[in-house]
Amino acid sequence: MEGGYNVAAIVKNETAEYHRYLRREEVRVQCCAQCGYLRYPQRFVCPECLSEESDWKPLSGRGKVETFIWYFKNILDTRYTKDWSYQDAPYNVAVVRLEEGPRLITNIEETGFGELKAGQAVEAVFVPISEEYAILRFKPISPAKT
Amino acid sequence: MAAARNVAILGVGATPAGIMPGKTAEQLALQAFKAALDDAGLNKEQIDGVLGATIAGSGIQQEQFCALVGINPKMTGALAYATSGFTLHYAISLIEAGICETVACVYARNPPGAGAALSGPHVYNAAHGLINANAIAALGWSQHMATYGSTEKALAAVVLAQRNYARMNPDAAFREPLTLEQYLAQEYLIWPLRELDIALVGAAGMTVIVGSRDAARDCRKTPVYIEAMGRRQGVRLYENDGYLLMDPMRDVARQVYGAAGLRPDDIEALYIYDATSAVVLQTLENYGFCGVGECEAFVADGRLEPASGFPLNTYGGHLSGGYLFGWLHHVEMVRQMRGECGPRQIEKVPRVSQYCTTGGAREHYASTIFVTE
Repeated sequence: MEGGYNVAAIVKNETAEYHRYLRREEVRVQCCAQCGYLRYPQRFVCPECLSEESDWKPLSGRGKVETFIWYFKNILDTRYTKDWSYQDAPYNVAVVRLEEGPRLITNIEETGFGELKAGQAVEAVFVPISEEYAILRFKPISPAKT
Repeated sequence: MAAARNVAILGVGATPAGIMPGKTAEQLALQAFKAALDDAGLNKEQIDGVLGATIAGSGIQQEQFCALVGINPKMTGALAYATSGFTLHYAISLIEAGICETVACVYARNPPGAGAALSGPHVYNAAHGLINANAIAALGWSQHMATYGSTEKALAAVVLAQRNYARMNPDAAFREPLTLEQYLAQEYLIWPLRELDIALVGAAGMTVIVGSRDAARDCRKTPVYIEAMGRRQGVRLYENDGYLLMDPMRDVARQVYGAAGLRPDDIEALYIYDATSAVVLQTLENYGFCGVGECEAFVADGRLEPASGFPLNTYGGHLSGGYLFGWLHHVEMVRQMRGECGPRQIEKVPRVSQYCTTGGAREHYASTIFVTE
């Protein structure tokens, strides 16, 4: 554990590169070298054309909130506590659809219950979890910037 | 599938659901197995297939159960996901293929936290705190509210109606009276869901015995025939548009109604896998019981309540009746179709019923239409 994050539970072999880019404040996802499909989550094969070749394509880091929930209590299960690494409730979990297409699970910072709405435009926030890795959260893009 | 009505449910058995300290899953399974054999008028030597499901930390193991009850089966099996709809189809396929003649689907568990712990323990995303299967339902209902303007009143309608059925079911897990005020006064757990919107784990056991039309001829009670089936597994999750709005159900609906030559209006009793209240509402929409986005108007004015003319999850469902991965829905449905349900019996005994399942993280969808002759 570093800084409260269970790095081993978050960073797996197939996701390490993604989290390394995030630590450098770059949002990159695998892009199929054959058909251009943006592969998220990471995997060794394109689910569209079955090519095993890919590049790490830089993305804008902007997207929109498709949906979200708020945890008002910590939901723990003793069988899974070892994988647990997160802040105390209340906190939100959101599905953000990136401008380039992929959907990802994340959290929205700088917002509150009743304030966050579906359709909210958001931009990347890079949260280091170790010297080598970071995770990707988002924050609302201020109206002036949208 | 092959010709409709080749396969039937011959007998059912179940224990009460809820809190049963000291009872093992095997004991509960045995109790239900004996009850189902008696219900069907079969002896154990006639069971040549045993199916179930494997779920972390609970359940029974099929080969061990066969050894326990002294059966040398032709085939056993278990699915890695806990939806009775799929396991029933597995049993039907074994019979249709001639691999087995009479298959017992047996499932029981007495998990830690019975009567109190949330169902669906799973960490989906350790980095961002997406925890518990019911959080996926919460994401879906949040999207539904934003898309269609639906509110928690629709959730409450499901929760209260199912509790009112459970109050008429002596085997139900949760039978205390529940009012709208009590529902609204409960704090959110995973907004927009409260704990009352989420099924809690509990102890229960059940057996559903499935056999061929020939086997049904010798059985004690009215066979409940399989009329049609449909399935889809949307395992690509977030890569699928409409994932959280449960779009793959619409494909299952086309399959099952197409095969039966029926429409939602023809269904006289409906059973929906209700890990959450929200799933019930989205199932009603995606199968066409009401228009997409119209569930709140559909369930208003007590339409889901007992004796309202729209019988749904009549034993109390997972939310109040007891959580056994949809199996108790099947047990109840068979009993309703035979007119055995006492105070909660649907006034006009249903001849056409449907079960709709949702499993995993909103990924496994199946449906079956059942008829009596």
